[in-house]
This record gives sequence, C-alpha cells and structure tokens, in this order.
Amino acid sequence: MGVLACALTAAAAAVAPLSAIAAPPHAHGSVSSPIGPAASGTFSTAVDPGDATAFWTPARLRNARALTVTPTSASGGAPLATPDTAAPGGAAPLDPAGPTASSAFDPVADPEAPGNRIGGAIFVVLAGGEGVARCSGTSVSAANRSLVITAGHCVYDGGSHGHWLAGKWVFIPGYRNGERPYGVFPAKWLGTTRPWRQEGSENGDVGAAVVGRNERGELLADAVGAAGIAWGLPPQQSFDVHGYPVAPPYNGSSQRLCAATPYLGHDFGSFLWTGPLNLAVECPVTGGASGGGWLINGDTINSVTDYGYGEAGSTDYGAYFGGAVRDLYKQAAKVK
Amino acid sequence: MRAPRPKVSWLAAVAPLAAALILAAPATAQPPPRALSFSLLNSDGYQVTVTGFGPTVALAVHRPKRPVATMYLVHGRVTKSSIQGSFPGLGRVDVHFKPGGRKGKHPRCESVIRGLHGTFKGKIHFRGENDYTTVDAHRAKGKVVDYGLLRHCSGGISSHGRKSTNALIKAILGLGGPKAKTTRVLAEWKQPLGGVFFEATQVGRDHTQFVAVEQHTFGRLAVLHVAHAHGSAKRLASDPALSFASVTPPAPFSGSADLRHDPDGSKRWSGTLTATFPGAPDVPLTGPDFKTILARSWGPVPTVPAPLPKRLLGEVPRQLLLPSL
Repeated sequence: MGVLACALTAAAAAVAPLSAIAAPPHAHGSVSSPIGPAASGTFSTAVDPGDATAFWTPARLRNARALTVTPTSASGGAPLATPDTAAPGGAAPLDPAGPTASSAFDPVADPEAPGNRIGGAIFVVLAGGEGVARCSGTSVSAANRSLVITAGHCVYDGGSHGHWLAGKWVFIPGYRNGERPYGVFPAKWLGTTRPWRQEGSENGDVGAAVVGRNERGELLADAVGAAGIAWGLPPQQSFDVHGYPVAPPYNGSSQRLCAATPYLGHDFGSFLWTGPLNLAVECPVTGGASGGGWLINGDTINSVTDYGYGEAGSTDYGAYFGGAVRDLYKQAAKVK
Repeated sequence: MRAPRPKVSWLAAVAPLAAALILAAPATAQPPPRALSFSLLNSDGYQVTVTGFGPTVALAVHRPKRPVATMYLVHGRVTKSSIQGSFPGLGRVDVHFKPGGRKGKHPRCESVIRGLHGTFKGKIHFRGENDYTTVDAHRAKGKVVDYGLLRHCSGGISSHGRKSTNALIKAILGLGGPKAKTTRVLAEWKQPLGGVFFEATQVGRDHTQFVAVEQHTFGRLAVLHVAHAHGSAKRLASDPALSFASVTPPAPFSGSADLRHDPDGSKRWSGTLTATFPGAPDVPLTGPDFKTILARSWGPVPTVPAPLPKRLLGEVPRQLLLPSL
C-alpha cells in the first residue's frame, strides 16, 4: 500500500494537467504517416477514424469473434538484455470506484457502474477480409483524456514483421449485448511497447490507443472516467481482472470480472522472452478478454490480459507494467 | 485472451532436433543473436553448463552420456562478453569472457558459423537442491557463438551447408526412411506455473522411446527437468482397440503406468511411474489431472521423439542448445 501511494504521488507530478483537452480526430479520409519509432522505445501509428462509428452496428458488434494473432518474427531476443528497472510511477484515476467482489469470471451487475464503465470492448476489422474481431480495454487517465490501455496484440500483431490492427478500431466503454451506452470512440493513434513490436515478446504484450470523441462530441474520460495507472510496483498484487470474453463458454455480451485474484507467479515461458517476467493469476479467461484491465485497489490498472493455455486451465497471464509500459504511456499521453 | 504464439519444443539430450529447429527458423531483420556458454565437469560426475542468451541465463546440470538433465533459468544480464545471473537459493554466476584464440567452425556449415573460444573468469557458485552437487569456481573454458549466422546455412549462402541441413531435417522427420507402425501414449498435466509431460513411442516391434519433462517456476527461478530413455518394444503394451496401454520405462524412470478408457468415455492415467532428475528424485508422472492421448499410426519412423507439446514448454531456448551441437 505504501509503495502504491508512493507511485501515485510520483505520477501526479509527472502527468500533465487533467484539464487539457485533446484535439478532435483527424479529418475524415486522411491517414497520417506512422509516428514511431519514438525515442522512448515505443512504436506507434496514426489511424484514420474514418467511418468507424457508423460501421459498428449492433449486428456487427455481436458477430465479432475473439482476436487471435501470431507474432510474425522468429524469436530469439535481442543480443543484449537488461533487467527492467522502472521506478514506481503512474497516474491517479479520474473516477475511482471499487468493483464488487466475485470469486469467478462472473458478469458484472452493471457495466455502466462507475467502476465498470471504464472497461469496454474493442472491435476491429482485420485486414485481408479476415472479418471482424474484438478485445477488451480500459479507459486510463491521461492529459488527453482519451487513452485506452489494452494488450499489444489488440493493436499490433507482434514481431518485426507484424502489422498494425488499425481497421475501424473502436473502443466501446460499458458495452453490453450490442448496446453502446457511452457511444463509440474510434482510435486515431495506436502504440505498443518495443518488446512486442520488435520481437513479439509476450512479456511486452501491452498496447495503447488514443481515441477520438464519441458521437456526442465527448472525450472518453469525460464520458466514463478513467482508471489510474501504476508501473514499477512489486508483482505481489491482488488484481480485479476485467474483460469481455467471447470464446466459449462465454459469448461476449457483457463485461466479466475476477475480483481480488492474487498474483501466483511467473509463467515458464516468460523466462525466455525479453522484458520483465509476466504475471499469472487465477481467472478463467477466454478469447476476447485480451487487453482487459487488471486493476489494483479497484481503480488503478497494473496489467492486462495477454494469453492463456486454452483448455488447459483457468490461469490468466498478463504483462508486468515496467519501464516499457511507462514509456508507452508517456508517449500516448502526449498525443493530441 | 489468446493462446501464446506457437512455441518450438526442445529436448536437451537431442542435439539434432535442436539443430533442425535452429536451421528451420525463418530469418528476421533482428541483429544476429549471440550465445555465451561454458561448462565445468565436477568431481562428483555432474557437468554444469551455463549459457547466456538475450535476457536468459540458464544453468544446466547433467551427467555426461546420461539422457537426463535439470536446467535452471533466470532473467539476468547478458552482454557481448559477460553473463550475470542470480539463481535464488542456488547460487550466482558473474563472469567475463576472455577470448582464447581459435575460432570454431561448425561441421555442417563450414565457415558460416562463428564460435569464438576462450575462458570465462569471475564468480561461479552453484549449490543444488539438498547439495546434490556444488560448484565454486573462478574460471571455466567456454565460447561465444554468433548463432544468427547459423540461419544462413539454410538460406543458401553455403551450398554445402544447405545440403547438409536438408538431409538433417529429412532424417529427423523420417522422410525417405523406413516406415513402421507407431503407437504413442502422451500424458500431460498443465499447471498454472508449469506442468508435467510424458510420452512413450513404440516403433514397430523394434523399440520404445520415452520422454518426460517437468517444469515449474518459483518466484524468479524457472526449473526444467528432462529425461529420455530407450527400451524394448515390450515396454509399451496396448490392445488393438486402443482402450488400454501400459508402460514400464527403464531408468531414469521407475515404476509403471496404465492408461485405461472407461466405458463412460473417461480416461484414467494411473500407476507408480516416476522419473529421477538431477536434484529431483522420483517425480510422479501419473495422476487424475493428466490429460492423455493414446494413438497409433503407420508412417515414417521418427529418429527422435516427437516434438513436445508447445503449450507446455514455452519458447525453446534454441540458443541455449547451440553450444552442445
């Protein structure tokens, strides 16, 4: 608790004033050149929001399947490696509220409740006619009031030969069974960490999106609030895992939650990938829950759902939030 | 949530498989990775091999010519000429590489592979669980291998190497070789932070090969146990309908295990089967939580055990195996 308090204090000094207003989305029909790579070690691309909002009808939303990707570079890692040494840091939440406790991946009683509506479903059109897919994400506090944190593979399919998943990418907070209670927020910028972008390292599978205004002209954080974010903390946390699983036995109709599930340890494979060792918790997630926020203290994101082992169990694996995530956050927070 | 990306499997005692995995890997735009490795032969007969690659420092313990090994893995610091890794509760490696002269050549890739031999100097301390082996040393002979160049062997830079690679892969896959009836028993128990895998493969009436892998993580330490054995065909018995199988592998295994298909469709994997690894005696390989497969096929005879389940082992430390080629 003391560490977290310290982290949030440090963050308060580092983050720009919350009253800053982001610029409106890019003009319809234009696509900007990629922004990255940035000096901070993250990678990003600009996205044309286009007609994403109109495209996502309730029928399309219900039909979107779980996003599955495979990093397209051979592994091997960089020849040099250094431990993650990120000092504790982060940003305070805009709309703190704790979820009610549950012992399984149960539906939340009300996706529009303050602690839940910061979570939402992500929908994206895959390139090459591969259909539509979905992930989960969280509205996170940032100066632009428009930041979504999700899994890296929900914005970029990983590795040095990967591609940005920028097709009509939208975030729908508080989503429930085709309903869009706070509207649709189309991405105008996507970014991910260096380990995920360059190597497809599962330890760096974290992504970010800066979204435009919804149909009502609202910024994301103004519409639903935003979770805080913390990095550099000890892994021994208790997490509220949110997500919108769509693969069986779930159907993606509503947000689900594993409440207060404790850190178990690190996945074996994590020892062979670049980046800080990832985190394991007990939560029976399936496809579609990718990118769902792992909140500590009910209001501060400290990991996201990245992968699991299918039928083999109920363990959810997420990236440790260290220096790479800090860099990604700081870059995303600057996007107007 | 998604499944992790496809993983390549490894088997410490089977260098040809590792070679094929390395050579078959697609080239990337990444800079050539580098593996640093050294070995020490202890007076108690254990050989300790330390390898550094990328973020990983691995310390493997085995007895020469015995197909059983334990590997400890941590995230450490590996540079072009140094390895630093702390193995919680077991020891520490902090060494720098001093080139010692000759450059090695890979027999199949001629001059394409660059291995620089020399000496690692610094601190090498390891004490195995229950003191099954102890190492305290300040120097060890080893090498630095630029394994990224190895990939070019399969890319046509060296026609000699390419031919050799193709032959190697064909041999491993059994292509062009004899065909036989193969019966396999697989049992796997996936746990949150590891798992156990066992496979028995009976090849015709000739022989049966056995593989067991146990892996787990404990805090910032990961441990991998691997055992491999060959026995007669009689060591795997099964009925024609594949409703039953029984295995009795030789050392380092002990005991036996039965796989039974019950009338209700359920399967039971039970028995006394265990494997003994360095530092981990009598690890159980049966139980109600194992998922099993019993299958029979007719086809090429594999020259090495089938790839281990990708979701169990995680990414293969291909680089870790290179020094053993």
